[in-house]
Amino acid sequence: MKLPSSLLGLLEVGLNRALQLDPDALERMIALSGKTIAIEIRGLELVFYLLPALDGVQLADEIEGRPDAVIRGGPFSLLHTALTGERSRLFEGAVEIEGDMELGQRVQRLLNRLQPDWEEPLARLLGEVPAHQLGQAGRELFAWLKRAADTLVRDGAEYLQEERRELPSPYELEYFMRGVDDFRDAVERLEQRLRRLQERQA
Amino acid sequence: MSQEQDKQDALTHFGYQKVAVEQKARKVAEVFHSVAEKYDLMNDLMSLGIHRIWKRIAIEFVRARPGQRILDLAGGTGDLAARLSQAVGDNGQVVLADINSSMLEVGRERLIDRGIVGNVEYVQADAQCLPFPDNHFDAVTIAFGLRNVTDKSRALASMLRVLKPGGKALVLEFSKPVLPGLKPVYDAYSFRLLPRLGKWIADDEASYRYLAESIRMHPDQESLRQMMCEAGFSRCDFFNLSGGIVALHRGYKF
Repeated sequence: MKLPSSLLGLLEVGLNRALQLDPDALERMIALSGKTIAIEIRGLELVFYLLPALDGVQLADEIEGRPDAVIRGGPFSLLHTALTGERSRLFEGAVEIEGDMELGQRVQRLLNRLQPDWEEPLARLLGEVPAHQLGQAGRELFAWLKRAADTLVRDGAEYLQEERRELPSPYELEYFMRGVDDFRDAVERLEQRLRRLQERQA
Repeated sequence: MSQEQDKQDALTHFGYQKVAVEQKARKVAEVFHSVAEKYDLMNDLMSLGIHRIWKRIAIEFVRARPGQRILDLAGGTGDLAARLSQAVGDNGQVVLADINSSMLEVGRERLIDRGIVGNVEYVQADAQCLPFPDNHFDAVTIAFGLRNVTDKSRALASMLRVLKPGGKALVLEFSKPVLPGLKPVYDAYSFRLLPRLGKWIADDEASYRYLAESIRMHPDQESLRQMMCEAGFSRCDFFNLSGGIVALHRGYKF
């Protein structure tokens, strides 16, 4: 599935605005100029491409040839890594990188660490003090959104694990895996024992 | 046979009329000499003020940075140039170019009146053969100008030539409405109301009829994208604005 081009355009404007307010991130993005990175959202079967350029990053819904790297994940795990920058244990391995690993990780890190300085353009508009206060409020809102996304993911996981019992909790999973390991060991021991008995009979 | 072919080739569109290639530029010039003074007012009326938003969106995609050199082609009354001038700062440069001296004069006066001086230069130039060195600009913009150019492919090639590698061209131009139900309303508006508005406000019905007709003769979104690719631009794409009444095309030079 493709994103509608208007949405893609909006996303591109937003991402580049954020990059322009974080000169370090912008420099790092420009350094990747000429590379193509696919973002694949599992479940929605949605894919779009990041094309770093000298003016920031272009988003596209199709490219010629193959991308240099693919970052693939479910919508929640991508949102989670994008907003929190940490990979919770539950989602370990949920965001995959394919192709040029280093490039994929660099892009992931870059997006994770994006810290736009919203105060700067505001200061030009309003003066330093109100800009700082607004910036503070903005940062708090941003942090709150990150926490909300984090909680959403955790609560979602908890709901599936505890309420619906669709998914095992990490403890249950560990218990089960240990059981499987024990069972496998027992089967192997039994196999050895049977073989020894057969040899003795022969 | 070949003579007839030649004759055929030497004709081009002027709105819905066919005119000789060498005549088009003169006829377009007449239109713009005639509308220059009231161009902005008419734009506001024609687009219900939305042309300002279209231009702002185009500026957003230029992503101009301090110190850059940007060419605003067919820059007319200087709407884009004014914003670009702020974005590139004192160390940057904006070249406002238009083939039409009346439009250029109106643009220059307007920018000077608004105190936008120092980093803007004015050049009367033909988009088909730009008088600038190769690899000179970080970005080239042309807003509502390409459809008036006689040979669009030549203009695109010329824009590509003056761009630095890594630079890009942005073409903002009327296009084909893609939103269902929009076309009949849009047609009625531009063929019935628009020429009348032109008559009332600028006392120039013919010029505004030309504007409406020239919009219809302009290549649609995909054709223009194709033309940009053929001219040698890379990563060509476009965004529809206002349901496709206008489209913003983009291509990079690598």
